[in-house]
Amino acid sequence: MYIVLNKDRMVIEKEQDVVPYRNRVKEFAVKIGMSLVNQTKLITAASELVRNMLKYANGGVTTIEVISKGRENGIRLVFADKGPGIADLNLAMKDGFSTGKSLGLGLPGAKRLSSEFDIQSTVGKGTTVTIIKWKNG
Amino acid sequence: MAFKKGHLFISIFVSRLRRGKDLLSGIFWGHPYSFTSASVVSLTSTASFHGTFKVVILVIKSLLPPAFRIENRGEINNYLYFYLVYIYRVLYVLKYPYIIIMKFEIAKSLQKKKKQILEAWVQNQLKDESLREDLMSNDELRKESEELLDSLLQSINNKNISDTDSAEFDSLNEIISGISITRARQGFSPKETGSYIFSLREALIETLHKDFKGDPIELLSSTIQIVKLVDNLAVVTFETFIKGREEVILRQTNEITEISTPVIRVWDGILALPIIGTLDSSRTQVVMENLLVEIVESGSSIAILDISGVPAVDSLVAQHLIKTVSATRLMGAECIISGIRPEIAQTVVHLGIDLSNIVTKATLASALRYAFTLLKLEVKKTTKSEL
Amino acid sequence: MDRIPILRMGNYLLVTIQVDLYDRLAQNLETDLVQMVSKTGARGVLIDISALSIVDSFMGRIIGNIGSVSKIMDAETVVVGMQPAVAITLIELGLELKGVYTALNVERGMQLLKEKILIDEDETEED
Repeated sequence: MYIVLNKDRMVIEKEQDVVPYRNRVKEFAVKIGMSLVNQTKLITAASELVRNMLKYANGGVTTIEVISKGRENGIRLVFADKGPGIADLNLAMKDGFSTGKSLGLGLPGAKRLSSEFDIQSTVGKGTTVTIIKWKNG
Repeated sequence: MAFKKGHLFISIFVSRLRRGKDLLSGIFWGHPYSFTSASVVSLTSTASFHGTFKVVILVIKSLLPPAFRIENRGEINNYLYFYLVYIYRVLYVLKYPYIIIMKFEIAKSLQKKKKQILEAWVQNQLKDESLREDLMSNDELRKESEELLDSLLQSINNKNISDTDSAEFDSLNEIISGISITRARQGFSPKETGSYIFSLREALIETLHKDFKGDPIELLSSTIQIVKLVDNLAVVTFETFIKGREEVILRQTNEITEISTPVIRVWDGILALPIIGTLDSSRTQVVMENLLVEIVESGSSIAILDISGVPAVDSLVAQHLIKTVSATRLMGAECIISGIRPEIAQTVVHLGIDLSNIVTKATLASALRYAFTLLKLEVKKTTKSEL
Repeated sequence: MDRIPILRMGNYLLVTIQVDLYDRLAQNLETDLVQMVSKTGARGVLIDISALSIVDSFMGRIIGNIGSVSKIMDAETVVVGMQPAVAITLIELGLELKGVYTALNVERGMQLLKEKILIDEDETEED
């Protein structure tokens, strides 16, 4: 369905990795000519998800891909961790719910900021979040 | 001409007999299972002209799943059916040789009668009441029709006659697309463009009519082929027509989005943004972006969002408005919504949308007055102000 | 450890964030600012985020915390110079930065702080 045009992979282990990662995502977004607002939305969503990964699973692996569907180009980010997993996805997707001491905006906020959002989680095995932001979406 | 026909007949007759021989060898020397259902259908369809029930049953059976195929019947029955079919075929070929020539040569016979078809087609079009002589002269029409017919007759052969997707039709499709786009631009209605193509069908069928007087069933099958062919062409026509329109709509949508979000500096430090048309999420983003960027550039501290041009406010639109106001406040500016018509106010309340955190005014004028008080400005009567 | 410089200007504290903050830096800023408020008795804190290209919920929380803690210590917080794209994103994220004032630029921010503090003083005098 999607054609992957370009791919990169980054391991996130410590909080200092967040800023370089955001810059990397930004580079990709700029390369495909994403508008400033959409860039900001994408990077913010990425930042939320990377922080989640660091906080709940002590890091994980992320991939950045430039994908295309028909005429539209976009960025796909995959965040895979081997953390404790999420027991109740519906609850985790609710605004203001947090098991840590945060605002609870991470997952639902990232979903609102991206064009497409998918989360898979198995308790004890880990969580994989995939988001897509289309260039004009 | 007569020789040619005869020659053709003989060659086809021989080729058909040869196929029959294959059939015979299949039955008598080969294995009856070696028949594919397709070959059975093609053979029996010839014989079915004579309306034999059993043959029809045979055709149906050949289409059924394997368990019901003829091979499950007694072998003698098999032989009998195929033998009968073979006899029918031979008889048929002997009785209507010229029809077979026609059947195999629809394309060629049409190609030969190009002039006749063109004449009939143009006549058909001229007869039509919806002919737009104001948009196109008869000479132009004839030229256009001839070009299309030329390409059509060059493209068709017996195999592709009802499959306009094949590569042979590319140039034809191109011509048709060109014609329908020009017609769309010239102001022809879809109906007029459609009847242009459909009148070709009549012309083609009329021509075939003369060739197939002897055999109505063969005429029917050729007619169906022609109808299919022209229908496919008509589909191409409409597709292009609609595609052309869609492009126009898309361009206009983009233009509207661009021109419909002007940010006006009504006063030093006061921006106004009249929104006209429905607010969807993509448009809200454009509105928000334009507004916020303009706020930064002009250093304004008050923005007035005028929604008198928004036809309806539902909960989604209201949400977009609230988002715009919140974003403006995050930037450090105040946002006023004006132009709320009574019916919109009513819907908002009925929908249970909470706008209490937002400053709302009925008119742009009262919003401006409110903005002046916020900025501690005063408008005096003697000064003939912009109000 | 890197630190974000905090400038003192009369009754006000000025912070200009020029780089994308990683978590430790942001948390340090929070602690430093609160301590500075208490040490100097500042009445207003002005945070310039015009160089920040993104603000996520973590940064939002830090800013919110600074605002709330300063408020308890009797100082107002103004966030100035937010980029339009950042504002749109924050709204979409669901973060409204409650408890802090916002202004377009440093000049407007200072004006706003002065007004707020003036009102406060008026009220105190009336009391």
